[in-house]
Amino acid sequence: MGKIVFIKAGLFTTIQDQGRLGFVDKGIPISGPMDESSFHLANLLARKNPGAACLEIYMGNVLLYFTENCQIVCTGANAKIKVESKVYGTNEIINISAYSKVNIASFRQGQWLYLAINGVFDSECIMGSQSFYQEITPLAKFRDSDILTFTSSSDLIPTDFSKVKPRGFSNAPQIPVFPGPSFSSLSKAQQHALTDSSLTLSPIQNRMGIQLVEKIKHSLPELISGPVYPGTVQLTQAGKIIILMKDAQVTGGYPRVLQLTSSGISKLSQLRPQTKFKFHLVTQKDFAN
Amino acid sequence: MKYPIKILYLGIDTIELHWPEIIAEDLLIEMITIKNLIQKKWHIIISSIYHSYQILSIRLKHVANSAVFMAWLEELIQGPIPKVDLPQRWIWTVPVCYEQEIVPSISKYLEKKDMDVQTLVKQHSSQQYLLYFYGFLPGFMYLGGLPKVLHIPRKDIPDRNIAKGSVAIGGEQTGIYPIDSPGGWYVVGKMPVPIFGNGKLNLPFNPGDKIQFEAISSRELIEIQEASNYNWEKTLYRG
Repeated sequence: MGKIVFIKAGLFTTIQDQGRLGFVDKGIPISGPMDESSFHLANLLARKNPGAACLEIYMGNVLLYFTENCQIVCTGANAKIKVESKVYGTNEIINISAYSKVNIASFRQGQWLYLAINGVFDSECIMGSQSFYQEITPLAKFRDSDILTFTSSSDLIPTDFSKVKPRGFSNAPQIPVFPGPSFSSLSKAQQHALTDSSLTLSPIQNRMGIQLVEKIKHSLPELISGPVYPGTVQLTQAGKIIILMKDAQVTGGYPRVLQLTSSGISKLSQLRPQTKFKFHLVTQKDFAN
Repeated sequence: MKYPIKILYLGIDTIELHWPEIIAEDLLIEMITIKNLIQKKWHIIISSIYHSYQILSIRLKHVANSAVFMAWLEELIQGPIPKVDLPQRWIWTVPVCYEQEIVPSISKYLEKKDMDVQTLVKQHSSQQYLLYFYGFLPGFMYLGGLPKVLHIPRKDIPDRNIAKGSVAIGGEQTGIYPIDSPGGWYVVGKMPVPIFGNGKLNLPFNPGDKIQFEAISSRELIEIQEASNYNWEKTLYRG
């Protein structure tokens, strides 16, 4: 069995798999990867099932020490992965030899990176998931000098295939959204401010939710608590716009004005504070084919 | 059904059933009955079912078969409530220590309310609270039925940390904090049974059940905390 030592664990490094589905009626958040598309790609490239556990790394600046040979692949944020003195990029299979250090520098673009392994990360599976969550799993995040054990697969992935091009990061991102239950109660001007105007991400963000800089004055009534999901856009009484993310609670009382599509959640998660973007309204018909 | 139910689609994989915007026990039972029926018959295409006071939400795993499901659902909500499928309900006894040495913050509530501790304990532990649903935090119960004399406005500035196991009162509600969390409620008691442990949520209560708090001494609190497991006391509820 191999070990990964987190010499530098970074700001927020966790294990994420497909998430803790089926316990929302006990108030358990779904969790899972912030950028599901990149997470799926990591598992695809590592020949794993799409929901297998990966390391999720926030903003980079992580130094890992591997005690055994293994193969890894990183996806998501635009990052340089340095294995001893050799430099790799995302979306390529990297061979790691025993006793080497892997340095993932501060990301150049994007916020979340997924590290999949050709093998299995050994961490506790609680309520059907390895995804970290405070109090549910033993760890809420990795800290410096924590150790994660893994088992390498004996089937090596050949590395002579052509690479998958690293993702591009758009300058004027459009985030696809469905109208939420309270959208039609907003005035035309408020709807316009929400879906046709440029919006800005604030620094107030974590795995639970992301707040925007802009506010929308409104007079929607406060509701009795109802269900909320990752990707639900809430409008608080004070007019703050909050987009719920993967660790969000399962109920809330603020009006739900928009709902991000699953690709919208992935896209938005990679945008840094101060980035400007637009919500792009889609309908169910856009998905019918 | 007794109440009119509206169907609302959210995106391509989420179907919400909206009851009228009220908090009522018979509405809850109607919703749980439908939830159980859906779960029994359609679990293969469902990823998760959420419910709250008056919204039941079904998130689909496989959107492909949803037309058949929707036709079934529409027929169901227009028909009478199927009596045979009503959930079995329990009254659970939940131990709470209200002693000052264990819960020093109880004095803040008592001062604010100008109430003595005996009145608080008697009022708080003589009720059967209806469990509506879990939400807000993992394992947090939304309980209905707090006596009016115990209502208190939430704190203007929330406390940075309310410890797990704290029994608290805020607004017209009471509840148990399952994990450490910031919060604006007044802590009045301590529930000694660990809510998370051994890889699971150790609360066997289901929405529709009733919760009855039972005052225990600080010695009983410690005995329960030191024991390796706890057998919840329950009796059948015939409402």
